[in-house]
Amino acid sequence: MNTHTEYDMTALSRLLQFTDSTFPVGTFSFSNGLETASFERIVHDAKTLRAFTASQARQAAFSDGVAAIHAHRAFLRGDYEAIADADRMLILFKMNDEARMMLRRMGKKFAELMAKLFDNAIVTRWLADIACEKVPGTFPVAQGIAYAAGGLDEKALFCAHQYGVINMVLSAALRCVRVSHYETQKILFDLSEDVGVLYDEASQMELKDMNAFFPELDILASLHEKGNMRMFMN
Amino acid sequence: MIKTDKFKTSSVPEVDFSTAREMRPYLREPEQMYVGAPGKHGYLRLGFELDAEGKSILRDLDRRVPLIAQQELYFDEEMPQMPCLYILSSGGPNVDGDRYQQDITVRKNAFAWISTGAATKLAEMRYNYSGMIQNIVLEEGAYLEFMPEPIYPCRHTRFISDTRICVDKTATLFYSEIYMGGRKYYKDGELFEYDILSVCSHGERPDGEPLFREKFVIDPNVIPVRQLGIMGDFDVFANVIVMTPKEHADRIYEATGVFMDSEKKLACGITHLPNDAGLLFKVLGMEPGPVKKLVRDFCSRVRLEVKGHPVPPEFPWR
Repeated sequence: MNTHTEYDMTALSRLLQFTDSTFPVGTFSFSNGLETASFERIVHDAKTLRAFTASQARQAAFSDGVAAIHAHRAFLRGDYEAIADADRMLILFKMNDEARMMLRRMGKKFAELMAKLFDNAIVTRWLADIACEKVPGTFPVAQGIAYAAGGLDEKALFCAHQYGVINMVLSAALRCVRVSHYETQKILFDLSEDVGVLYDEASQMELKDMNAFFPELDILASLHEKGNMRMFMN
Repeated sequence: MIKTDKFKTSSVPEVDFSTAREMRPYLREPEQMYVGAPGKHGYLRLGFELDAEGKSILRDLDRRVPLIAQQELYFDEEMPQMPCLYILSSGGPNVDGDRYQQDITVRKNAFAWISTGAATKLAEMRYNYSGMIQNIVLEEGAYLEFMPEPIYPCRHTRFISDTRICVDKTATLFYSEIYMGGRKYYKDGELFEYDILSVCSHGERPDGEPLFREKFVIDPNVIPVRQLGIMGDFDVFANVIVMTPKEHADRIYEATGVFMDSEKKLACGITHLPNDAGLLFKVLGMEPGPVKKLVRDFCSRVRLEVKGHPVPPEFPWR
């Protein structure tokens, strides 16, 4: 009986730990604009929630996902400057103010946690550079570093990145959209089937290839940014 | 493949996107006139500056067919001292294998308004693509409103652009683009039937400090354009970049209302660009008229903040 064909069991345990909802990076505070979409009655049931979540996942795949993959590869090469490049490029590319704030807050929390988990010079240097604002310290880059340091390959990283985005939206949905746990789990289950296709594309992209065309999401995020309602940060 | 020997005989800067991964399927040499042939390789260089009397004038003009720059006119009733210039193309729509470059400089404390004489049509393409490079440079205290008419991508068109914006921290640029879903009322309707639109705009300071990079690649054959979150039910999309000092940006941001009106099917949003570079304003709508009006109203807000004057009402024939 083959019990560990792809991952060693420690690495698999790391994957479970980093993607657990109790992993303290603050994902619970963000809704990625869902709160406004719900208020505007654009997302109001399982069908519209599924479409909204799919757009969020796709948007993240070709920006955050690309940066995470590049950071992962750079860590394995021991190329700190390439990690910093991915970090800076992602912030240049993030057009939404609240999205930038989310990525930096979660990234910094992840970096602080990594410094406790890994005894690694790159992790230490990255955290120090975040503190003195030499690098922005984004969450996807933190994921790239942590997954590489934890012995997980970039496919596992990309799956975790997509799971994180989808789960963040669906968790928020349970609090502001009229959907059940059964429906959100079905959406997560179904959207997981798209991850491989998105990875095939994202894994071939250079940092300059990062792209996003989600104007309706952008406008919803803006409505939230300028609005007074606040259950979530965005 | 592209006959680069022919392409490089041109006397104007080379416009080549063959290394862009999204254009790889579209690199065949057209059966008709080759890529970048005379008449298919437009170039425009515009330089605005203050003359000895302090009047903002078009000092530099260099052009290659099919691009035409009309005589600058001073018709803006709210800013009669501002040169207003229309860019035209004698070739009609952008066709297969067209290349364009537009270099626009507004020197210290000068100001200008630029638009196009009519909508830009991107014709059907079978072999190659149409590409455009823009370099926009604003020196200290300069001010530019760049507000072209909408772009209409027809069935099977392929278009890529790269716009480099270099703006001094004291200057202000208003840069808008309006993309139609297609020829909505042509025959049975033609919406999102193009092959690809790839649009990249990136801002930097004169010392080379990068400020932001926005890129969108729309390939309706691959991405679900009508999905909620992308275009949804909307047909028209406008993207406006405003690079301006932070104090201006903060006041414009506060003064700009955002909304999503499901009855009028019109929506707009605003956010801050990274690195305090300015603002990004987006509009979605069903027809070009209401979208153009929102863009123009927003431009008026920017001009009022920076120059102390509103934008006058649009000409009734535009």
